[in-house]
Amino acid sequence: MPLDRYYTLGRSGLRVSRLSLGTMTFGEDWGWGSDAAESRRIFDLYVERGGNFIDTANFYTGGSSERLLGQFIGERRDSLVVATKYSLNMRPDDPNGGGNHRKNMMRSVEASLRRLNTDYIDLLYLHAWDDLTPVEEVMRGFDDLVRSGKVLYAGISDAPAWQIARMQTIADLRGWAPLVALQVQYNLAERTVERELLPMAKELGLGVLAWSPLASGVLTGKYSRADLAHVGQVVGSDVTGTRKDVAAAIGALTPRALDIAEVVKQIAQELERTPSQVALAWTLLHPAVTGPIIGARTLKQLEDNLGALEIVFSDEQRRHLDAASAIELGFPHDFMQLEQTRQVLFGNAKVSRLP
Amino acid sequence: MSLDQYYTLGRSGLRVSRLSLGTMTFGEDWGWGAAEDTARAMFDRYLEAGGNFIDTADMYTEGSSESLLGKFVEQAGARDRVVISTKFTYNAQPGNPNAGGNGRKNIMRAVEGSLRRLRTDYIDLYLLHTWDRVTPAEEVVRTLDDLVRAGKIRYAGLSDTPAWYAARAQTYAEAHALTPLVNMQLEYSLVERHIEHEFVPLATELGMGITAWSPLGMGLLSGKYRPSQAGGEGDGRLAKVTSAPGFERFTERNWRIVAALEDVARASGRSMAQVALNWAANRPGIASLIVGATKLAQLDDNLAALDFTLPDALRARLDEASAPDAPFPYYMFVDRQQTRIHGGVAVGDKPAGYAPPVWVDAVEARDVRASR
Repeated sequence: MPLDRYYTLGRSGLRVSRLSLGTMTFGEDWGWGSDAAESRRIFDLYVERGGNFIDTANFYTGGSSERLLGQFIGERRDSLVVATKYSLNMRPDDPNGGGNHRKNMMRSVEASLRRLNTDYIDLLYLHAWDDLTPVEEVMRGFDDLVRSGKVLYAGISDAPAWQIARMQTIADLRGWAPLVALQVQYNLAERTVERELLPMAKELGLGVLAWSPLASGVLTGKYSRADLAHVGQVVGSDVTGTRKDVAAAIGALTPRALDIAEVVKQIAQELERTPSQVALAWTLLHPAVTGPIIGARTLKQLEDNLGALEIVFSDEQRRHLDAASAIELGFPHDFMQLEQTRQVLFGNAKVSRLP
Repeated sequence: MSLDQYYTLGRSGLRVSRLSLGTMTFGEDWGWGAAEDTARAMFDRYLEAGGNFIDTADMYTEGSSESLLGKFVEQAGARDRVVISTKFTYNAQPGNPNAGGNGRKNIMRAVEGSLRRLRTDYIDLYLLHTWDRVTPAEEVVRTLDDLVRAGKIRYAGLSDTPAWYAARAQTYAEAHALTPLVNMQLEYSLVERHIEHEFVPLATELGMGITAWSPLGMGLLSGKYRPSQAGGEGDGRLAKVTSAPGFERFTERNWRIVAALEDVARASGRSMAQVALNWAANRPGIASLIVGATKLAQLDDNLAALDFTLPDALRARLDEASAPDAPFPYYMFVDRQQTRIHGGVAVGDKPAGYAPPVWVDAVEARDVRASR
């Protein structure tokens, strides 16, 4: 399953590679990224191997990510699928300089187009839910951007499932551009999106992109119990510092995650593959998932990550990974699976969807 | 400072200050406005204080208001930061009936003129200025929707229309998936509370934030008139217009309200203007008050109007002194009547705390950067 096999994204006709190139590492503004030269090599390798799906955001490395990408794209513009995002605030004293609403959406898109040095964005995500903006306003804004030709497809990232369900349904009813992609945190150590977001995405036609598929590096096996004490210099929600600082700050470094990383390592040994490849390949198993977003700081890491597409797990290995990382689905999902519940719902008849 | 706290306007995601800068006083074309340097000083002061919501109209001071505002915004490099609201309706070419009114032809003409004078390629909030009694609501909302699609305006609203017309326009827009009306601009103050009967429930129910014009009752509540000293007398701008129909402000009832305001201001140690604004801003449905000044000192005084909390007893005193009549059918919608609907038991819509407000505190810029 090499990078040059393409699949349609969600319920759309857009063809994308199964590994998307994350570019939050492009630029050194946040202290842990790659310089322009290394970023360029990473971009070139990804594209040479057939990759076409590039992920960025207005906010990444203070705009450097988009700017570098804009330089690298050059004449390849039409053969690439460029995804970027709006919502995060780049002018901290301006309440309308961030957020999901129309004023910020329009301003942010113009700025992204400028930095990306292009006249259209293939996929525009709402980056994170602001809990203030009416969903109709967001969906109508997307539709206007699609009509104006500045954006081809709409997507959403980091939002409650019920809000997305409502947005998609309003778009369907009103004939507006639908959401075709959902970007969420998903990896062996963080499977809570399996409760609501992934089933919703599958049903409503959103292809899922998994961010942080390696759990901030924890699943690569590079951290040990000794690192649990690491507090780092990260204050609040700051993004700068080392990657270990970031992993500690966002709560990715936990005993549970390290246990899961152990199992990943074990299976990697069985397959004679790297733990990263195993962790990435696992995300592809869920039927709602289009692919993970891989963010590499070095060419070597990228080279390694691309190997994930060659992995085929045995049933036993899948069970092992699943058992080590399983979460409770919680109410109502667990309740619906109880024998007693099924009995009162279906009586003695055997009922299910087509296999 | 209260101006740097922002709330979303109506059912929209647009964040605005609770005091909006009114610019009908920008320019001397009407004989009583502020000259360019004073207007600029007021604009600068408002922005410095954190304000982001600026109101104008194509007809104010014959276009000077928009032209000056456009110039100030451009020179301050503040276009994306400010939320500019302007309006269409009033006629710009005497003798041409289609150069005024709320029809599509006039809206399309007016918006181009406003964009040009404002030196921008988009208006944040575009309002119908005054109901013209002849244009169908469907035509207005469809035209506003086309302007949103064209990128010339971001949001739409209404000013000075009957409530039934606004309800029809909003419902029609909703049914046809057209851009919603997110704002109603209406006169509201201690001496003008009629909107409480229809417009306040309409606006809160249908997602339109109310911006209040003339929150100082055309100056009657500004402190210029003090019944304790002058009795029911006064001069100033208001004295010149008070004989015009609809502008009769020197009434016995109003002087009683002004007297109560004077007492409350003395008791709270605040200026009469600040108390009057504070009262209005904290009434149901009110998103923002439009404060307009001709002198910097007036503006300074007004901008501090939300920096204090009026004690309940004093607020009640103002409520009472200014309480509007409840004519038919509104006397049917008071508790005494409604209890017969509910059979004498206690009935409410939602308990307190059912829908806690969303409120995000300010933090230092360095900590604003998110984790991805």
